Amino acid sequence: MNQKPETRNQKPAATALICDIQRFSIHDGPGIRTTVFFKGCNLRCLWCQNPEAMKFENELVFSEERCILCGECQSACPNGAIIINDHPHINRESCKGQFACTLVCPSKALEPAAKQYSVTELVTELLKDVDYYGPEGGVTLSGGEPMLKTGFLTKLLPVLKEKKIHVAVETCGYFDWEKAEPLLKMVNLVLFDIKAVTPELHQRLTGKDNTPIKNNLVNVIRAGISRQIRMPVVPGMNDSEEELEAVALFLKDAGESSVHLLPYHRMWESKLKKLHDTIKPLGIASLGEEELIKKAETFGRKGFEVIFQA
Amino acid sequence: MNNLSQRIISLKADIQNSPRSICIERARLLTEFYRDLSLPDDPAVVTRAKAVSYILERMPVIIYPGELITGAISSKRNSAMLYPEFSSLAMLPEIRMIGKRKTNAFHISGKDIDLFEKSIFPYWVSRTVGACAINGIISKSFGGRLMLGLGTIFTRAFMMLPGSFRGFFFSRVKVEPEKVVIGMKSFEPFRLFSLYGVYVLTEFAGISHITPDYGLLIEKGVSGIVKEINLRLAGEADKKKRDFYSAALIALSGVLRFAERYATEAKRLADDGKDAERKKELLSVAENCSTVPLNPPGSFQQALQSIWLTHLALYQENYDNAISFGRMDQHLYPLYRKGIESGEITPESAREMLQCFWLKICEFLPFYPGKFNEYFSGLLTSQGVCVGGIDEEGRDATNELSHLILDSVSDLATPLPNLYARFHKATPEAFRKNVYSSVSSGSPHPSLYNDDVIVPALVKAGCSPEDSRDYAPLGCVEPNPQGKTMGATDSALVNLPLCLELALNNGKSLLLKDRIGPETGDIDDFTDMDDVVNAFRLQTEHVVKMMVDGTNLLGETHRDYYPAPLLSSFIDGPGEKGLDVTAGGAKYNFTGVQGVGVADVADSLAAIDWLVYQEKKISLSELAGIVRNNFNGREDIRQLILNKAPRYGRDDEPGNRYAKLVAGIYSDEVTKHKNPRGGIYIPGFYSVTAHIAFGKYVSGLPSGRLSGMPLSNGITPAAESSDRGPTAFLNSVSSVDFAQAANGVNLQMGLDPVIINNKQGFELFDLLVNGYFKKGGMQIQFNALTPEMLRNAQANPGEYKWLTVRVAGYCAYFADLSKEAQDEIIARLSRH
Ligand code: SF4
Repeated sequence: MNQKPETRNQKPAATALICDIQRFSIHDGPGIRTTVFFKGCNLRCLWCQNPEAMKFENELVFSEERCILCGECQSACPNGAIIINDHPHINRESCKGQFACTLVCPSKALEPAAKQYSVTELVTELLKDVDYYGPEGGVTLSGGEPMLKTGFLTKLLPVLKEKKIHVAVETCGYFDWEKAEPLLKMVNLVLFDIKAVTPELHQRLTGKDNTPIKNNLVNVIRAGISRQIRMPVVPGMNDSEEELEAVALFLKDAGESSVHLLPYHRMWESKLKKLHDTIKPLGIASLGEEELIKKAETFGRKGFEVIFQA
Repeated sequence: MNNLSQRIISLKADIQNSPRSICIERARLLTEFYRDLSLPDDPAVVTRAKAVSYILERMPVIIYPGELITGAISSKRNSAMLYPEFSSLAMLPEIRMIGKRKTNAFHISGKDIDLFEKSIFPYWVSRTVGACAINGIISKSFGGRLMLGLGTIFTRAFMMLPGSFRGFFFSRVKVEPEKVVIGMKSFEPFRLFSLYGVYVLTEFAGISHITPDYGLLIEKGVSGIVKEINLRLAGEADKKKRDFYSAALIALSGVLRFAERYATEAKRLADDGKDAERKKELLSVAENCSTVPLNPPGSFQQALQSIWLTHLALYQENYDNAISFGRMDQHLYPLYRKGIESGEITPESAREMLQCFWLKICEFLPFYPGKFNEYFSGLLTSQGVCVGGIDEEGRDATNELSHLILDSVSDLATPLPNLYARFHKATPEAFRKNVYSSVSSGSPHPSLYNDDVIVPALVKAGCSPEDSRDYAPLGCVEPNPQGKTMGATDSALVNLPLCLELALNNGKSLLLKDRIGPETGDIDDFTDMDDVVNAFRLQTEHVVKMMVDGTNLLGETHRDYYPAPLLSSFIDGPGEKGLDVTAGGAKYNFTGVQGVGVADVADSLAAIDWLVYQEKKISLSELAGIVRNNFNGREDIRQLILNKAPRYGRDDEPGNRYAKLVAGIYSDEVTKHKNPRGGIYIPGFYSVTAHIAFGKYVSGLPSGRLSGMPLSNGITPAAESSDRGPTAFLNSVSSVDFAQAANGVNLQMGLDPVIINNKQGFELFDLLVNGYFKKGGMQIQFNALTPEMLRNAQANPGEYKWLTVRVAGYCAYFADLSKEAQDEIIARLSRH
């Protein structure tokens, strides 16, 4: 079982595809932060909150509510993939991802999911809020899976370090440790997500085997990297008593004594109709605070410090 | 209300439950004096002093139950006084309907209406500041007193109409004295004003907007001031100066008699009273009023009483708007300490006294004739109190009283006083936290001011570093060295987007259907951005010049007809120079005039630059055609601009650069000019509610804003441009060069409940404010209510009668705002 996850962008890369740069983030780590959402991830969690960041390739996002039916996209598309009658129909099969329509669309109804950024361009954005970060805030690298962009990060992190900017990484844990280790040692905080420890369950929920994730989690702990272990609690998916216990046991064995629980939100489902994908809505209600507190008891009994996040 | 004493709760309820009315007493006494008793040989300044004294000796003396600080501005609570010599005559057309108007209805009795129509109006119609100014133009042109003649004929004709017909006549014809103008070049400044959409000149209504030296009042008492004037008078040979000193003495004697009348009344009530506790209180009120303002106060309560009686007296001379209190935490601190140390007061009793004082400020309302309600919605008197900041040497001056004042205002939850908190690099954390906690509790107080930007701005405007450090904001947001400055801070508001419209239409306005500005060229001949910007600059230059000419004329009229000897006695300078404040007596003289709609012009220029000259999607003429047509049939272009063009507020370089440029152009034009008091004009960027009123006169703009819609508020980015979050928003604003904006700016920020409810609460708040101030932000204020709550209040005004919100540099009851102003506040909160 010593498989290595596939990774992309292994050479120092000049640019990276970035879905969004969210300024004034106050939920992804301490203080005021700017969060960078890289595009592409190897997992396919059924509840992924950022489905537009899953694929490695860029894709077309269509927000129909913004459309003013001007017809510009229809004329601009070189592949005849857009037909407008009472509302625009995008033939995703004919779409070759050239994004001509996004250039002409006046209302941002059609947009590429991500844009290419060079390290310099990204740093410029990240420095804009440097006066607001304060001693604890800074930059959060998220996604998608940021630790797959090792080439890009190799150039980015030293610049941020030199500017004394606090860097947090939000990861699903599915990455190549050897490549990631030197980078993780440069960041100030790792927000490490664990979805499930039972291998079959993990495979079913995320499409991947969790061996590398467990190994990496242990590696992070052993390396003494400052971290927060976080678990999204998704009703009916990974929140059975047994699974929670199993996670608690695993973390305990790994030497961890605190865990952040993230309640499931269903907001992401509204993004689905904008994308061309086979992802299905889960149809599960968001998890309330009281239920989350109940789930936390399992960890509490095992002596964990449990922290709730929004 | 949890922290309020029973006394304060009932005083507050008494005020809020009093019906709104008009008090005609001041107007009656003033008319009586000027018409029947003034001496033709007296210089204007002496006549003015005698008139003020006459009023102070006769105005009603009322002590309300339970109050510890006493003094009533008029015969009724919750009433508005009239200033017939300034702008009150303009209410004539609507006087019979005023009780029924939709927003801001006022009760006035039939008897008082009669008095107004038959006696007050006819006497003053040819003697208002506006009429005198126009008369001045005519005299200069024709060498005659034609206007006085016109006024008389006009009045006679008016009086011949039957009463109800009169109201009808005026509601249809809408004659206003200042609008009786002829198409002459020298009338141009007033003609443009009478269009209402180019600029608003407010000195028609009086000047006020000043912070008297209440520190000096506490230190020396009126007796000390009188002694000094007497000494100067004795050594003065110059007739004009002697007149001025004599006038000041007459006016000050009026103040003293006014106080004596209160002492007598308090004594009488004490003697008549049954309640032993109240008797004791009244006796101490009587004692206070016989001690102050004559002498320096001996106690905290006397200090408040001294300031209050003086303040009221000043309003008999100067219209009731924005005479502010300055740095009360500094003025009152020595007596506060003394009282605490001697055990005479406790923080709790001091808090109650302060709240009694604040409630006195809430007791009266300004009266605006119909049209002006749109520009100054919310019935504000904008009387402010400042806390925190550095002292004259630059050390932190925050003290216990700063906290106590903050808490007492915040707990009271009334729109007044307008509370300003000064911040600087070393403001103690405890004070910052207290400010944030007040703001995030839903109180609209205080607004925040950055010493590190304002002090250098004042120094640049010509004030000494020591005096600049001792500034206090006044009115809405205007920082002036306190007690030393005749800042005339609210003299005019200028419609900047209209200047852009003129630039794009060769001097013509589409909605005013008139030529307003010079011919600055056909846009078909424009070849680059420089041409566009230059045309805007030339139009702004013209409009500013006209605004200045009009304002200067009004300023001279105040000086020549209605000087302010009483106010002059509480400002540093007039004593030494022997000159009234209206004549340049003050140590510092400015005229503050506001540029409205910076964001709209900036976004428009950025859109033109991007669309026409960068992306070359469309020619300037095509764009101008689309805009003139209000984007009809071209929503695609409008969406393109709104979504993809650079904008101020989104922290992109062009948006920020154009905002800085627009503010800079206006500032450069303004600071070229001098006022009749020997000072310069200085720019401010706040709009009260004029951005809504001005918007009605501006057609569609290249920014994507549609014809007739509100303009942007103060220096705040436009509504659509704040979608990049608070840090981008604040970065954009701080890219404006505030060192030029010495008259103050207003930034409105809706406070996202996410910030307030976040666990990190105050830290986030602190990071935002510190970051913004560090980057050069000048001022900021918050509204922490939720949109739902306000929508509810809009639907059920009855239940939310006392809901206070921050409008634009001041606070108001939500229910008093026009529907548009309410909508704007809701929209502001729905963003970020
Ligand atoms: S260009 Fe954009 S707004 Fe126009 S029809 Fe296409 S999607 Fe709609």
